[in-house]
Amino acid sequence: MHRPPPRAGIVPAPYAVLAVSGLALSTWQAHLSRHSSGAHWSVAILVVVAFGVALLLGRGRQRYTTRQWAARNVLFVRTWRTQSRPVVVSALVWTVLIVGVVAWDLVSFVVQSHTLPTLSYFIGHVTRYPLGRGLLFAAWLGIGAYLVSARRAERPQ
Amino acid sequence: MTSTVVPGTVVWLALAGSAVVWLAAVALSAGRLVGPRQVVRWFLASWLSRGVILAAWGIAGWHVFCQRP
Repeated sequence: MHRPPPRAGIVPAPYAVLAVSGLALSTWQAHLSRHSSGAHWSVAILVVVAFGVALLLGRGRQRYTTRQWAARNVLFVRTWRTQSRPVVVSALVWTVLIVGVVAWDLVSFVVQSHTLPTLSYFIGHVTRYPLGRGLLFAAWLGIGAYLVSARRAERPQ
Repeated sequence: MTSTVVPGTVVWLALAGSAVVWLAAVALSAGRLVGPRQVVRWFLASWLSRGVILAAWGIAGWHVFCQRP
């Protein structure tokens, strides 16, 4: 079915409803404590919904199968000498940064010492205030929405 | 809250500093270096990688909003 292109400056109604719902949810979430059942249920339900919607939206519209994706990565690693130098350097630096953050956070979490604060310790300085908690929750929702819906193939594959 | 900088904080500062330097290099490279947008695209390209990053998102949300102050 052919859909007319959206007019510039006009947000489609479903997106506007989603954005307003997200803001309302974040405002409500801002005043909850981490121990409240409301916080637990809302986060748990949102995570389950995110996976469900990702499956629905992505059915037949994922760019690569997992096997194709893995094969492309293996090929890149095997042929790194013939790849462009900036791309190889980028892959190395991104890997070191991402693995470094995850590994250091895990080490700090496992050791549980005041001398090794985790990333969430710093985030806790923001989420202890309603404004910080609400803003961070809105950001978390936005990131989740992007991860669920972005980069889909235009047509089912 | 203590004003003493503990060893773990130094490592976090080093990681944050490295990330800032790298992002600046990406911004100045005029598209030759791979930026954060392309890294996210790489994660979203297959079911497995999308599932992994969604799981990380969910765990992070649970930890930050249900376990941390």
